[in-house]
Amino acid sequence: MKKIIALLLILATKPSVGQENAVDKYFNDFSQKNSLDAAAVSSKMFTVFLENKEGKEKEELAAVLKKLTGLKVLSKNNPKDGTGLYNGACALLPGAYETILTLKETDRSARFYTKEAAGGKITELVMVAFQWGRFLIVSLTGDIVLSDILKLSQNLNL
Amino acid sequence: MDYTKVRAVLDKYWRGETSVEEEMYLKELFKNANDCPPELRQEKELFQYFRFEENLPALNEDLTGRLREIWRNEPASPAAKKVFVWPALLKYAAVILPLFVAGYLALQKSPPTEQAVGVNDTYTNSKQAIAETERVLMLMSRNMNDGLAKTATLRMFGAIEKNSKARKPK
Repeated sequence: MKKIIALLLILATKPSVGQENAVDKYFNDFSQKNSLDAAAVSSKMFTVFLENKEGKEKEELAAVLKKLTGLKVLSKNNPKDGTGLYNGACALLPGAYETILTLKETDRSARFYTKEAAGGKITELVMVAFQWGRFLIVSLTGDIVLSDILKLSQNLNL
Repeated sequence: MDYTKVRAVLDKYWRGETSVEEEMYLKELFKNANDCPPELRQEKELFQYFRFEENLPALNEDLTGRLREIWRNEPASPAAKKVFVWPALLKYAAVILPLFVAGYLALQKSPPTEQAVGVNDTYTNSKQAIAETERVLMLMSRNMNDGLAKTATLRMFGAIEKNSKARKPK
């Protein structure tokens, strides 16, 4: 009887699984409080991006996208206090997320964070940005290779 | 002894018509009445009992005060112990109930699902979602490139400084 009760206690206190990205973990309340728009894309949808690509461009993009497991975005256009949102969002990420890059310009503020797993592999890339009248929190999850991310802007042709 | 008169007085006694002197007469009579007829034995015992009570010492006037003191100084009786009828069940309920609540709360959380396109009210169709996703990815990549470009400038200045220090005459 005691063993059964102890087992039930362990299962009851087991942390819930599924919230594997910063947006779900740390920005739920922030998002609701500030009425942010939310969007999520899975790895299955990434293959759609490749439908209109051809040749080398398609190969390079596929090499990047196949390692990603998901994308989540919180955004707000023309917020009243974009700088306040930016600073508030940056403060919410815990120490497990390492700041790797900060960009500060007149009309653009952006900060990049990474979360690493054992062995130094980056499992999540987070960007908090307020630029050109738009506030963004973006979380990319998967097997992140920063050089591949840099290539994306070269391969995506809008 | 002639008990005819005694019977007459007793009749008056039971009717409540005797005087004090007549009652004293009956008490004295039955005090030492050894030859009392059998039918008057009960009256004899009654009047002898009255006499006995008269000889009892009077109650001590301090008794009330002593009782009052005793009452005040008497320690309070311990509170009645409440007895639960089913303590064993309560003991198990205290353990089992939190488990049920925790399990219920855990079940309320929606299970993780992978969304092909997770869209709230923002997008009206998948093409719009894809387009927005492309823009977001490009934005991330551009910001990273711009940031690295600035640090590359700093690295260049650092290299220049290092070289200038190396060329200075000693």
